Amino acid sequence: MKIHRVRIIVSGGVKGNILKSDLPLSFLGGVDPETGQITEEGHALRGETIAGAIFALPHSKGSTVGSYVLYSLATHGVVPLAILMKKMDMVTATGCVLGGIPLAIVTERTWSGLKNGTLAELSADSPILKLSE
Amino acid sequence: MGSIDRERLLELLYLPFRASGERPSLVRISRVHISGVSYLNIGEAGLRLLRDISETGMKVRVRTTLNPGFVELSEEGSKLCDPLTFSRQNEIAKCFSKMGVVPTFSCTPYLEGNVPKRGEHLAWAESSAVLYSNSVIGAWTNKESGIGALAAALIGATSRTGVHVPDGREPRLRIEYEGDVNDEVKAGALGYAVGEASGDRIPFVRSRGLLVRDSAIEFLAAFGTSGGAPMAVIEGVSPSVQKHPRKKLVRTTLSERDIVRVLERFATGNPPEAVLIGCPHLARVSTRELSELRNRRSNLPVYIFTSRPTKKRLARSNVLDKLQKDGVTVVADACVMWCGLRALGYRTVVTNSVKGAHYLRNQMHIDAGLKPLRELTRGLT
Repeated sequence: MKIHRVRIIVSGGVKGNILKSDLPLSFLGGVDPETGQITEEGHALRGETIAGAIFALPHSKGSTVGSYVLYSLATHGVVPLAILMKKMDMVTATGCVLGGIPLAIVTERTWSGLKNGTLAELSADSPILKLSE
Repeated sequence: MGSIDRERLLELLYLPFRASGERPSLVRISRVHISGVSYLNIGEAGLRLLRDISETGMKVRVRTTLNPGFVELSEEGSKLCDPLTFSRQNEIAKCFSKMGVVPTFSCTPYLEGNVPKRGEHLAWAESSAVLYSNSVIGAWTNKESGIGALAAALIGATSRTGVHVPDGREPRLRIEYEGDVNDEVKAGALGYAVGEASGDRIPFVRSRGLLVRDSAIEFLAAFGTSGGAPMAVIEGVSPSVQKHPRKKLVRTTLSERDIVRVLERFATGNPPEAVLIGCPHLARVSTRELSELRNRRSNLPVYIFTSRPTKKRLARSNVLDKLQKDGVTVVADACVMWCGLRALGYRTVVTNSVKGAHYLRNQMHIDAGLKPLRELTRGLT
């Protein structure tokens, strides 16, 4: 496992596989609030689910109601294990706090090393992300 | 997971500091105004969150008022809305009431219901009210999200960032306008153009045309639609404005052509089927304006959007019935993003609000044109 430094916004220790979206996503209208399935028209990950994944996206876009969608995922028990972002945005961060979803901001270099299916581990008590090689 | 408590709400207020790595710092607030009230906007996911928060028994710590919703919560209003939407909007209202929020359903709390004084720290959502508070009254508030404002109300404080810090209130660019601002539509179009030119920066605005307080409402509402800043410093309107901002600012000049360019974007393909007035809410409607509306030279139905107290005042003075007879409907609790427009099937409307036209197009998919009230009452199509 390779060690990467990250900035923790919402802390929590998790281990799982990366699901990476190269493009921004709107949680409102782009993710089913009851299942976690990506529904955005034309999105490369359409049909995949963010539930149970370590979901990596550059940043979110669109409505601020996206925060409530993340909360809704939590009430339905279909949250992503954690979210990794290139750039902090308040919509996602607010949703992660409300839904108790760990959130970390990664550097450009770490971001380019993230690949779909990579095993990743976010530490609960230090700003460290471990990625399998 | 999915459980809300005070710790989580507090964590929301710390978010800006988690991103920057600074030590979290809060500022006590005296008033809150909440957006994200309309069922059209927040939907089932938002309602679920509000229900969960209200069930914790937490109460707001300061005077807290509410933005308009999607329907008028009255028997009359229920006839112009599908039953499901109506009951959901009612439930949203109940959740807020349970938390101690005063359900004013108005987007002009600064005129009525929650009036701040200069220098007060607030946590307000609803961009037009945020802009008016900072830019005209001289109160201090960031543009909070709906849930951010609610969290601040339940805690009694908000993040000490942005325009809660003196340096954050400094303009970062200078915009000069050389044309006329002789009606509210032009004021709105200018606000829209200034917002686009400013991005997220606070502008220092000098307008040769007169920007008075009432046109400032339309100017700022439109500014908040196209721009990100919570404040504009307007010469002659904003309090304690340094005649010459401290730093030398990048200067942009706008002309009438820029206003025309904004207005061209709001041209409609078809003639309007209804007139919408009151975005932001028409809270101070004059007798003269009402009589002009009743005696308008067109058969188009007119809808006025305002607060419940204003509607009650009109009912008490028997004006409401007369208006109704002349095809002027007064809608309370809702804004122009109103359920009734769908129920009545309007596809093209005309309004005097640039902000209203923008959102009608983008969120309701209703083609919305622009005309000042003066022209709407004199012969129109």
